[in-house]
Parts: sequence; C-alpha cells; structure tokens
Amino acid sequence: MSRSILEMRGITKIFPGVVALDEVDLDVARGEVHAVVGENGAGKSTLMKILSGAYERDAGSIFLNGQPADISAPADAIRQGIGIVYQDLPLVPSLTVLANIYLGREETGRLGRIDRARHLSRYERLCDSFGIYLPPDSRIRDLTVAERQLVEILKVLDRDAQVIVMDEPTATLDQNAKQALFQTVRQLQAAGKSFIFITHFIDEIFEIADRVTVLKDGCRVDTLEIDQTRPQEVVALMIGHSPREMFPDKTGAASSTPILQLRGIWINARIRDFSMTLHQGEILGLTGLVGSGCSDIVNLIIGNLAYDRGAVLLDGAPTRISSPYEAIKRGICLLPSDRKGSGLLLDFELAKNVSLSSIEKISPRQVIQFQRERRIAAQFIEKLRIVTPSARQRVRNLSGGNQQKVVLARMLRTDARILILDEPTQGIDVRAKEEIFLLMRQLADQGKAILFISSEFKEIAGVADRGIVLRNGAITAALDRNDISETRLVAAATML
Amino acid sequence: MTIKRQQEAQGRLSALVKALSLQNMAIVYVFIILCIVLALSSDAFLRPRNIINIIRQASVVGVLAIGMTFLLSTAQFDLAVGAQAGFTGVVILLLIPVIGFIPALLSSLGIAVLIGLITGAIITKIGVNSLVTTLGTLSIIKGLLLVLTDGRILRGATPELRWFGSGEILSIPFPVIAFLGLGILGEFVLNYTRYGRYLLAIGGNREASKLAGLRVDEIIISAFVLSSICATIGGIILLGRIYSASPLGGVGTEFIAITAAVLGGTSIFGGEGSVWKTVVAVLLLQVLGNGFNLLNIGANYQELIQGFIMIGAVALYTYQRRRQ
Ligand SMILES: Nc1ncnc2c1ncn2[C@@H]1O[C@H](COP(=O)(O)OP(=O)(O)OP(=O)(O)O)[C@@H](O)[C@H]1O
Ligand SMILES: [Mg+2]
Repeated sequence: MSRSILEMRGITKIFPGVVALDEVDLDVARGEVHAVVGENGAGKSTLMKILSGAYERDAGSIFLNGQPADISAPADAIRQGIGIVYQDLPLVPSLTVLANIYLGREETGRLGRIDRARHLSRYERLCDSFGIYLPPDSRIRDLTVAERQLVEILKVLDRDAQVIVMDEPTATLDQNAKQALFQTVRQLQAAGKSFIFITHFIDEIFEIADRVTVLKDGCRVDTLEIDQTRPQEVVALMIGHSPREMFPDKTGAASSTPILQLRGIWINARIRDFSMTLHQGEILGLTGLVGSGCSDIVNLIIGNLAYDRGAVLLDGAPTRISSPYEAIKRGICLLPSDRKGSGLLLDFELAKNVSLSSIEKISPRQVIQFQRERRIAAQFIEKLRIVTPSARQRVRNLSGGNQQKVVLARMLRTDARILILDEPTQGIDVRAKEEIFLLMRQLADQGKAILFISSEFKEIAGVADRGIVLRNGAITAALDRNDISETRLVAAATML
Repeated sequence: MTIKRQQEAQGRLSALVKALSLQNMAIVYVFIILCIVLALSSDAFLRPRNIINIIRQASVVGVLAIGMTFLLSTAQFDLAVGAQAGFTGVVILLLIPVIGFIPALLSSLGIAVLIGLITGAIITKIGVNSLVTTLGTLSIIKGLLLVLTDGRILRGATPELRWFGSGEILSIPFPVIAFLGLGILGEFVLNYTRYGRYLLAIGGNREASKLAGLRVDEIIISAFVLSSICATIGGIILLGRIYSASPLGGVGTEFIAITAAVLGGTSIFGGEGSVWKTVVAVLLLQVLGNGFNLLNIGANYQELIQGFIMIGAVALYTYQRRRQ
C-alpha cells in the first residue's frame, strides 16, 4: 500500500443521462507508468479530470502518499504534485517557451520587472536534471505538436509534479515524435516520476507501461502487470470478447476508372512535383511524418489552398476547385483531422452536427425537418455505436472518440463519390477502428474512391490498396498492393 | 443499473425543464415580473393604448435589434446601424423632391443593400474584423450625415411618410406591425430554416462550417445585408414618427440594439440566437422607461438600471452555462 504514490478509491461520476464512472479504483506506484485503456466513452478522461480537480466527483476518495488528498479545484491538484499534460495544449502561441512555462508565476525584480535571467537559469537547471532540451526563446506557434507537448511536460515538472497524467498524448504524434516522447517518459521515470498514460494504441502500452487498468462502461474491469499479459487479452477485456482481425480483406479493383488525378503539383517550396491517381473503388493511402506535406495535399484537393503549378483532373477533365463548397458540389468530401478546431460545432447538438453537410437533402425546402434530422442521427448513433444519452446531446459533452464518430457520420450522409479521410481514427478505440476500416472497405466496394491519410503506418499498410509516402513535400515511395507494408512505409517516410 | 434507469426518466423531463430554466428564460421572467409590478402599481399600464404605445416606441430599436441578432448569431456585429437609420431619413428627405416618394424609398433600400454588401465584403474577403470595419463605416456615415445636412435638421415629411410612423392597419399602428412581424419572421428564419442554421453554424465554428461545404463568406455578407435593411426600415419608421431627419438621428441606438440582443440570450460569440427573446428584451427596456414615467421616478435612472439589468442577466446566463 505505502509504495503507492496515488490511490483513487470508489470514484463515481454521474452526468445527466450517463454514469461516466461507477466506483472505479486506480493506484499508481512511484516510478511507474500506469496505462489506462478502454473504449470510447469508457470514462478514462473523466477519471483524469476528477484527479485534476476539473470535475467534482460524486463519490470516492483520493489518497496521495497514503494521505487523504483534498482535490476540489485544479489548483489543489497542482499544489499536491499532480501534473496534467492536456491534449489540446493550452499554451499562449505568441509567447516564448520560457514565458509560457512561468506564466502566472513570474519571478520579478525591481519595479515588477520580469527577471529573465532567473527564469533562464531555473529553466536550464530543469532541463538538465531531466535531460530534455528546447530553445527557451522559440515562440510556441513555431513549434511542432511534439515540441508543444514537451513544453507542457516541462511546465508540470517545474511545478514539481510527482504524477504526470497524459491523456492520449500520442494521438497527434507521428512515429518519430512518439519515440522521442517515450524516451522522455523513460528518463523521467528513472528520476522517480509516475505516469498515467491513456492511449488507444495497445502496442504502445506494451512498449512503455508497467501496468494497465482496463475500464469498460465506467467500471474498472481489471488491472494487469504488462509482463504477465498479452495485447489480445487486454483488448478482450476492453471490448468484452476476443478481438477479431483488425483489417478487412483488400478487394480494391486493381485497374478501374481514374476519378481524381493530380499531376505535377507544386506549392511554393512545400510540395514538389506531386502526382497521384485515385481510382474508383479503391482506398489510396497517403502518409508521412508531420510536416511532410500530407495536409497541403488535402487542402489543395478541397480547394482550400492554391497551387502554383500542375493540374487537377476530375473524371479526366482539368478542373479548378477553389473552395470546399465547390468540392462538395463536385462530390468530394473531407473528414478534417482536427475535429475540435475544424470538424465540430461543439455547442450544437449531435443531430445538427451530423446534418450539417446534407441539410439540403434532409430538408429539401427551406424549413428544417427536425424530426427527420434526429431520426437520421439516431440511425448513425446505432450504426457507429456512438455513446450518447440522445441525439440532442451537445457534442462538447461526448467523449473524444464519439466526437470523431459524429464527424464521420456527417461525411457518410453526403453522397460524395470521393472521400478524403484525414486521420479518421484519431482518438478512436480498437473496436470502432475495426468498424471504420470495414466501413471504408464497404464504401470502396460500392464504388467510392477513398483517400486515406494517416500517420499510422500500420493502418495504412493494413487498409490501403496502394500507398504514397511523402517526405519534405516530395514523394519518396509509391507502393502498390503487392509491396505495401509497414516496414516499407516507415523506411520511405523516415529515409532510414 | 438503477441509477441509469432513473437518469433516463429524468432525461425526458429535463428537456422541458431546461427549456423553461432560468438560464434560458431569465429575461422573459424578468419581463413578466416587471409587467405585473407595473400593472399593480398603475392603472394606466395595462390600457391597450399604453401597451400599443410602448410597442410603437420600441419599434425603431426593435427592428435594429432583430437585424443585430442575425449578425451576432454569426459572431459578427455592426456598430453603424444606428447612424444608418438616421442616414436613411436624410437620404429620403433629400431625394423626395428630386425623384418622388416611391423611388426615394426604393433608393434608400438599395443603398442599404449596398452598404451591407460592402461592409460584409470587407469583413469576409479582406478579413478586417467587424469592430474595426464598422467603427469605420460608422464614422463615414456620420460624416456623410453632416455633409449632406450641413449640420441642420431637415424637415418636410410628406403624408405618405407619416403613414410609416402612425398609419394603422386594423387600428394597429404600422410600426407595431413592422416590429412584431419582423420579430416573428426573424425567429422563424433563424431557428427553423436552413438559412438560419447556416448562420448559427458559422457563428458556432466558422472553419468547420467552411470545410463542411457552407459558403461561409456569402452567408456572412448576406447577414450584413439583412441587418442593413433592418436599419433602413428602422430609419423609415423613425422618419415617419418624428417627421424630420437630424444629422444625429439614430446615432447610439446600435448600442441599445446590441444590449437587447445580448439580454435576450444571443451570444456575441455566435452560434446561438433567439429573435423572439430579443423582442422581449427590447420591450423590457421600453417598459422600464415607461414604468419610470408612470411611477414618476424620472427617466434619468433608466440607463443606470438598464446597465445593471444587462450585466446581471448576462452574468446569470454565463454562470449557469459554466456550471454545466
Ligand atoms: N461534461 C460532460 N457532460 C455530460 N456527459 C459527459 C461529460 N463528459 C463526459 N461525459 C460522458 O461520460 C462518458 C465518459 O466520457 P470520457 O470522456 O471519460 O470517455 P473516454 O474514456 O475518455 O473516451 P474516449 O476514448 O473517446 O476519449 C461518456 O459517455 C461521455 O459522453
Ligand atoms: Mg477521452
């Protein structure tokens, strides 16, 4: 008992219409990386929000170092050594790394002047002691997601966090950044810090964690030692039965009609001579590390970004699409990768989010048919198994993975022929992933052309009929069905 | 399990409870209470003539506030609508002798469309924010007013014009019909039609709306045009009521319009808007003034009290929302 640094006992949390947590226990030892896994809506984030003081718990208690801890506001948690690395990284983009880390806790000299020298020496000491480094004067807006995450980590370390909570830290990272993060975690672990690590990637927990706690429908199912279990066992506990094959059979027609072609595209110096052909009935994978240019290609296709040279052909005819509106009119629909920023209307109810791109079809006259709108949403709730009390729930109150399914439902409602899925599985649990992959394959079999963008090489290799790898804006590999594999994709993306 | 079932039952009831909750209906309750208090303390208050009068007096601000509710729903606003209402009066009075009554009226509406288009285009296509842009247009319109009137009050409203201020249909004055009619129409459009959904969606998340295939720029511009037309209708009613146009006419009403919309629960960050509650809020502000007169408190207190009500109501909305 006493070796536990953190114990949560009988934590219960009830939202209107949802029991998010039902008497959940969790304990974390000093120097341990403790993974928490579970399906979308299982209650992982809610448990962490209770630990961080962001939510009030309805029942249960928290002990730190064996002592009852009173955590009723975020400030309490911080003071008692709990550090949260938020997924949406709440940093001030226009300020420097140093300014962000000491924001609100500046050390001041005479006349209230900020004492930069003191900050700097403290920062360097901090970096040295944990073997991390980031230039203190870079502005946050110039950093990558991975670097911003590091800033968040430094921030909690500076406040002397003993337990560091990371809620899906790898969801937005590419392979390289992921490895760098794990490296950091191991260093900190060696220095005696404990981690709570939430992820939907089961292989990650076998790489980094010591123990794993599985949640299902708000209840704790079990806590296992990593070296005494196997991935299949963990997944079986999560979903309640033994897992099936993750990836559906590849049936994409090898030689069918080209629908969308890009020829010799140049965008500034960012994209250099990019060409691709998307055929009817196939899933084409596009991958690369962060900054490789995949998102430029997506924006270009939907008319959100202009190109300098090259041509776009739709059904063989040159076209110029200059806005997402036109793209949808021509049958091209995008599932954006940043669901909160550019996918969802967070304060709108679920049904309205689903209907956004197809409201003209749902309500052919101007007057909105609310009943019909909700009925359609209800169908998707069932089909995609969205965990929600009703079609009228505000999307903000859904769990991350369920929010992602709402964006997906919106896309499925349009009858676009060309579907661009930009990181469609971000934050989605294993079972839902499997379902989405199956759905993608069914859509392709129905004759849709699918462009699947993902930084998960494994998923591209498992799902796509063909794959294109970008690196620094240029194609480094175009793999067809016979030679697409995770190792080849990794090699082409990283040039190892 | 039992907790779950209990929760479900509560869910059905909660939709109704939520619709009637303080958070959603605060302004309506305040309005009703105020009316009861006034009805109890003054016999004059509930007389039909007094009620019609209140609505008529509220009509100019009311029409502006309805337009403003549309803009706020898309997370925009326009500080020039008050001045534009005054400008309308001047334009019409100057044009009537030259081109006649109907053409003058139509021209003023044409100018409204033009102003809306230009303002909207600057904001969407160039990307200047609405605060800066409409401070600019406010200054330009105020400047034009001075140039056109040379600082004097213009008179000469024709009988046709007066009809817009005091003419009656079925013994209900035109301003009352215009205000309440636009209120009903506006509520319908904003919350029950596709166009309204687009406005709210853009206010909720502009980027997401764009990627979902909405013509974001065009829709925002159209909201500016609508608000501009409302300002002009307000200006025509104003002209019909005071028979003259002064270089300062209407200036400042935009703030009462924004106050009313916000009191009605429309968020200045967009995504949420209710025209009927804007109408209630406009009436509330008017009744407050009327009540002060009836109770001999003196109009000097009105703005003071108005300010407290505004902050109080919005604090309540915000607090309740944050607690969720
Ligand atoms: N603020 C809230 N209001 C109402 N319900 C909520 C709220 N926050 C979470 N919930 C509900 O509580 C449940 C648990 O949500 P939580 O976010 O903890 O899931 P999660 O395990 O983190 O899922 P994911 O893997 O999708 O992120 C979900 O059903 C969710 O809809
Ligand atoms: Mg979560």
